[in-house]
Amino acid sequence: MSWDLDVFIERLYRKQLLSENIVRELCEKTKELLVKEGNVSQVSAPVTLVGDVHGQFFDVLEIFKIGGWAPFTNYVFLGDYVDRGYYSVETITLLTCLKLRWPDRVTLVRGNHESRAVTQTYGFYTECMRKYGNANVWTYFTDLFDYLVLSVVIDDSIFCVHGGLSPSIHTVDQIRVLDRFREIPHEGAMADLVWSDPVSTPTFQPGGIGSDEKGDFAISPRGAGYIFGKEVTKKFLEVNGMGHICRAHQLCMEGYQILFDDMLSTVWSAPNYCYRAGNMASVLQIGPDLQRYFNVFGPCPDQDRNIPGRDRGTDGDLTAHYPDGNDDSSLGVLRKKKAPKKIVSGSLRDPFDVDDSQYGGSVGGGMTKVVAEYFL
Amino acid sequence: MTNPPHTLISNGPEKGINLHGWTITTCKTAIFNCGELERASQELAVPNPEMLFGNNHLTMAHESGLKITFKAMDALQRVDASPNAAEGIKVACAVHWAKNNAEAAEKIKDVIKPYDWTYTTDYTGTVESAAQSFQTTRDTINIEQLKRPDPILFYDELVLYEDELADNGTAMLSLRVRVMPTCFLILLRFFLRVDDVLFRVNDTRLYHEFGTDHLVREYTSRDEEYSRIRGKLPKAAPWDLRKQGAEDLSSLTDPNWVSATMTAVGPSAPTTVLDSVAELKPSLPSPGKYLLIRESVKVTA
Repeated sequence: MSWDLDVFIERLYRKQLLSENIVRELCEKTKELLVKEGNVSQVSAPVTLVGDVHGQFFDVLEIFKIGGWAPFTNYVFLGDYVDRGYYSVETITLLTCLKLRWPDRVTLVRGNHESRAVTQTYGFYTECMRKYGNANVWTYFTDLFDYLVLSVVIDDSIFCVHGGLSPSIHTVDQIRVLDRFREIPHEGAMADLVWSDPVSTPTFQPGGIGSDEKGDFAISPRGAGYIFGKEVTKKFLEVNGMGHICRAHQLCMEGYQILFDDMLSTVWSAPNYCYRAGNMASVLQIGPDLQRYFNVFGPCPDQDRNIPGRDRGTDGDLTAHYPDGNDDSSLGVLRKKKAPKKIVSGSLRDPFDVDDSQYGGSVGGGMTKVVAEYFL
Repeated sequence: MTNPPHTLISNGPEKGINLHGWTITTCKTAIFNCGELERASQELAVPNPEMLFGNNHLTMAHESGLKITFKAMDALQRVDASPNAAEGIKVACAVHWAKNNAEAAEKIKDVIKPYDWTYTTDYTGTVESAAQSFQTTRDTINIEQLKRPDPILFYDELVLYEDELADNGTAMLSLRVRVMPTCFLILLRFFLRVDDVLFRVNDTRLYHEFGTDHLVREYTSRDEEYSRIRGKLPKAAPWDLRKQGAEDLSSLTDPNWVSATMTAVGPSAPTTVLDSVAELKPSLPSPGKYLLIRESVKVTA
């Protein structure tokens, strides 16, 4: 197959995998592109921010249907592309292709799951092995992850990162000088940026320094990692002359959360997370005057998910949604036709996990179901 | 064998079955929203877990008046929030982390109020009917009966809460129920994995054979070192070239696989037997632990 990104992207929109060799070349070319980008990308509004998607490929397509297709919409993805969902490979391959095709219209920020260590436990490694029969594709992508940028600044006003702030980072310039081309370390500024969490009302240990301020950094009771409050957020914004921090990393039922008198917001883009949480998702649309709008959505309608074994690879319905151009009106019409999605939640199994049985996976459908019912 | 007369219940998020004087229902909904979370945080001594299915429940009621429910909020009330609660388990990188963050740690003295961040619970269900209580028993769960491939008249499973421990592992409290023509079994399972540290499985099983006058409740608690369970993962074939020593660890996220492996590598008989769940106290992790409590309650009027 000759090198044609548009063809690859079209195939990926149909959820077809690319060959191992193409993925290798794709990752190599994207690394060459990313190595020239600084740790902090400058992006101009209007722009749409996307939070964690976690391999929920059909919901990623839903994002494009709702928020517009690349390159017509300028996208910043805030990390956690892989793990947990069943289509991490399709998701990260598509996003990488979009990045390489339109580097100025797609920005990929690194999340804590863009890591060799984490992906071995949470599904991406297993999925690569199952879909390609070896770990090469996993190696190509995890090598690529080392090149992803750490943060984005929108029009010198909005700071975007996957996790949150770090006690060793006071200015954005300090992020610029980090050596980011490496595995995410256990500790230090780079780890904090992808791992830390804001807490609205921290319950500090009585007597601790700052325990009355409710807003400083604190160490998690797990023994590693930071949480940060309102004061830290305010100070960071003041020092850097910015107005808002947008981050992802934390599930919220409503799909987004606004904290600290609107100084910080969380955007979460994986609806019905892990196919059981029943939560909503959102993308954050930032307008030309930096006005923020959380566009909230639920899981994509059932009829838009292809269930392999019935019509694997063809997915005629999806083709109908794929736009030939910037025809937003036709997308709007298509969107209206959709039946409301019934959220299947609180279940231990993905309702679509029949897909995995196709690959002989361990989480698969039929047999596992029978065994599960006869639990002891 | 003909199935006994029974009716299935399906009422929005509620499903269930009526038979032999029993009503067993499950309710499955979404995680708590913002407002519900806020109220929950006022009731609980520990921060809310990441996924709190506070409206989910399993309820079993008998015409004699016995009623037992399983709810997330009651289970979370039993998570240790005492001052030494955080001493139990630290994530694998904690020592390394403290050392390398010494400089920052000098300035940052705040540590979040201690609580058992693993969300370990010894919850065994809530007995809603005041008249009955569980007593120490010699009755046991009839495993042979449960191994028979009898038809399953009703099956369901649901999650009460789940936390990913900031990707240091998983804590999950889940329920499963199956009702057969002759008996039913409910399994409430707390599953904990702290990466590179340990596994913990606290199981509560409720078992009743129709026609008998008692309901058996069995609680087991097991801890095992992470490395001993990981050592049981299927090994890659010699010709399978896996790069950079990477390994498929996803089985470690499967509570059923871990539980079965724990049974295989751990002690075959209980190391501790208690008479009543009332004797349970928060305990430090102890790999190889196998604690058992067996009780029963009368179900006749």
